[in-house]
Amino acid sequence: MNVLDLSRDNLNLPEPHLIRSFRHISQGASILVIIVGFLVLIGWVFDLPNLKSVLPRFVTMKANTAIGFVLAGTSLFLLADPMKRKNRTPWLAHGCSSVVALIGGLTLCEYLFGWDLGIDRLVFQETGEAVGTSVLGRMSPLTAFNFFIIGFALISLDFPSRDRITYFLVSVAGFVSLTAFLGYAYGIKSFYGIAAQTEMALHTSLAFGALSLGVLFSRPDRGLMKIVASDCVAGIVARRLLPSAVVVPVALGSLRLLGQRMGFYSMEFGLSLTVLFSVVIFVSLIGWNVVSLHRLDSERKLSEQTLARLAAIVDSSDEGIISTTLDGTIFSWNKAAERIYGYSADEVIGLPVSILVPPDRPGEITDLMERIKSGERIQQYETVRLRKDGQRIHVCLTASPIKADKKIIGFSGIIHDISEQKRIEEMIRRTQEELERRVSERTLDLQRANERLQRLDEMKSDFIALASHELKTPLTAIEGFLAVILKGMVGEFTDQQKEFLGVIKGATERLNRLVDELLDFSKIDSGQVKMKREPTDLGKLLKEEVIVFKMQAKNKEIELGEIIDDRLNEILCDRDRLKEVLDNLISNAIKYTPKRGKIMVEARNFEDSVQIEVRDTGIGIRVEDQEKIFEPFQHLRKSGLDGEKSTGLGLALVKKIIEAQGGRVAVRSNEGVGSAFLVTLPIKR
Amino acid sequence: MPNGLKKKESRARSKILVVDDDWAIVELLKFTLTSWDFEVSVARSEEEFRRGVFECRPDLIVLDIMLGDKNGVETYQALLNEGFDPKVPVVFLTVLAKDVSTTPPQPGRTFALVAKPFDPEKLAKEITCLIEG
Repeated sequence: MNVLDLSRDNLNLPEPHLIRSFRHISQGASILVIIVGFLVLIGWVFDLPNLKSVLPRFVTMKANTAIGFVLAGTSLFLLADPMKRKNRTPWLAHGCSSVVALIGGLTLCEYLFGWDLGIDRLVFQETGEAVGTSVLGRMSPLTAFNFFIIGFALISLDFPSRDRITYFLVSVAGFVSLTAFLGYAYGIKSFYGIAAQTEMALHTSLAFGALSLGVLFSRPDRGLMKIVASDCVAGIVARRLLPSAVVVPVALGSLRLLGQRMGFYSMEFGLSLTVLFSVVIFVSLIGWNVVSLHRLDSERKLSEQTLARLAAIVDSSDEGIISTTLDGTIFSWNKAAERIYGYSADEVIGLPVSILVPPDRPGEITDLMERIKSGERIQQYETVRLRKDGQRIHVCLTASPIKADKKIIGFSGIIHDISEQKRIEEMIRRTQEELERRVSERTLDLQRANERLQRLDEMKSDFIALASHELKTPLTAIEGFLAVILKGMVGEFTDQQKEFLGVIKGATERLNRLVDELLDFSKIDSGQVKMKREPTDLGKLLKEEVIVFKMQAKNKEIELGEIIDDRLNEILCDRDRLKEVLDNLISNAIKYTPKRGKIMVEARNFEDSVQIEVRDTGIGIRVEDQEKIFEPFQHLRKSGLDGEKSTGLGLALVKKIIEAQGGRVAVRSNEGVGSAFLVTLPIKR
Repeated sequence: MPNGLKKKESRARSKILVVDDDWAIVELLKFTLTSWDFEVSVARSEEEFRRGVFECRPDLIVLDIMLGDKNGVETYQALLNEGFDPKVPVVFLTVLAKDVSTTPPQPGRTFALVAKPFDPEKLAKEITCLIEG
């Protein structure tokens, strides 16, 4: 993963609590300086030597110096927190600073050019002999120099680009005040007084020290102080060592000098003690820092490793992972993002993320950012993006805010390329549409075919009705007139004429039967006949049938018998149609059984059905013909053994009737041995 | 001459209206029923039937159910709606039923269903039964 360099500055952000503390220090210093200035002015007003000079043997703080401190302190106080000023130009603060610089500058000029501008007596007149004073009422040239540079330092505080100048000026002022203070501490007059010129007062040096610190601490959010206020190693070291580096040598030096002057020890002993304590204190301080820094370093390395691992994960991810700043500038870009968008990390980092958005989606990024800022989490957001080569790709986005200290500092996005998925979805959609189109076409075809079939069915029904009428009407006439003739209603006939008329009558009756069966078959086949469901005592029906055919069988010397199960279930069926079936089967058996044969009608009970068997010792059916006999017009034999005629529809009709009632019919036969027709009907309770 | 004919010589001649569009059937019925001493009128179409039925006031109608492309039963019902006497018996001839309706005479019965082909003598007996009630 590549991370934009501009983010480096953001890594060592100053700690907010330290920023607050530093600002407090700065404000405290400014107030202290103002108080010192006022106290000294009070001393001048009321002629209080202790306020003017800390000790009578020390030089006084001049009235101009006190005014300078009040102005400088006020300026620092007003400039302390730029955030509170709401961007208003601090005219008053800058005015005070300028006056401070002016006082210092003019006084320096007086020293340099031997002028007397009268400013030294402007407020108070210093009279009599004054300790350490070359010109009455005039501040020390060191003080004037410090005011001059502090004044500029204060003015330049609001210009971050001049931070280095500010630090330099403040450091110089601080150095001068520290030198003066050490002069007082160690009794070295030349440290606070140049040649025979007015000396810098003790409290002046202290006030400058406070002022320098105040100016330094007033801008903890930038420049060098930003590092000091940060939580980074440099900040920690600076905060721990810098105060010690100043305080420890000064304190040790003072103690050594004090002890030496009081005759506790010799100079050599004192020096040794100073060196020893310096070593001990600094070694302890450094040791303490080493331990802390080592811990921090370990943590940092751990963090780096974790980061490296995370970076590796992000880099190896199949999904594009990118992040942007608040204004939408891309600052991280993983390899998958390179693959998805075609831009390398180097090309794209630092560019606005909007380069990935097609022109027809303006404002989409801004809208998404606003939604995230308002707390919404963008998940599985499908949209279109542009690759480097201009190709439009479908992506699925998950975007979330990047937060630091509970503030949103940027956005991260996980991008899943769903172009292939979309392409497949589109293919599926097209296929489905094509299928639907075909299905609707097929449905239409089927509808048309169905309509045609319905028309055909209607035509068939019409045909059956018409055929019945047209066939039966002439048959009615023929049979009717034959009956009239045969009954002698139109005169007598010879025996031969009567015989021939008898033949015509037989043929007509057969034709009539054929028409009946044909029509029956057609009606059942086209579903026009609805089978009745009436409770039928099968045993009784079979016995009646056997009685009906007994005479016909006897004429052929055939034994016709029945075996009926006493517990035969009553069944629900169309009684008349079943009778028709039995008529067909028994008459067929008689037709194809030679003299002295045997026919047995048997009925058996099964769990959920009954079975009727009509078994004969007739001529039987060839195996290859057995399948065909239930098909219409399979004239296997044109007539029975005694020349009985067959319509060729009987068994087909039997099959239709039985199947229409949910049953089935089968044949078992051995040629020359006999046949058995099995009818199975369900018991419908 | 059938035996039945002799039985009917004693009674007044009943008027039978034969309605059928088939020439041969009409001739058969005319011959048979005349021999049974009925007075026979003929209608060969639905129009002739509707016109003639109120003119000849038959004692019985022999009506073919399939009358050209018209349904004899519907025509009969239409006539009833037009005020034709429902007590006049009707013998419907049909090719769609199987058995000749030679059921024993029942009191008050006003119609019979006879399947084609029919035995003329049986039909004549059926008609006699219906007329005599």
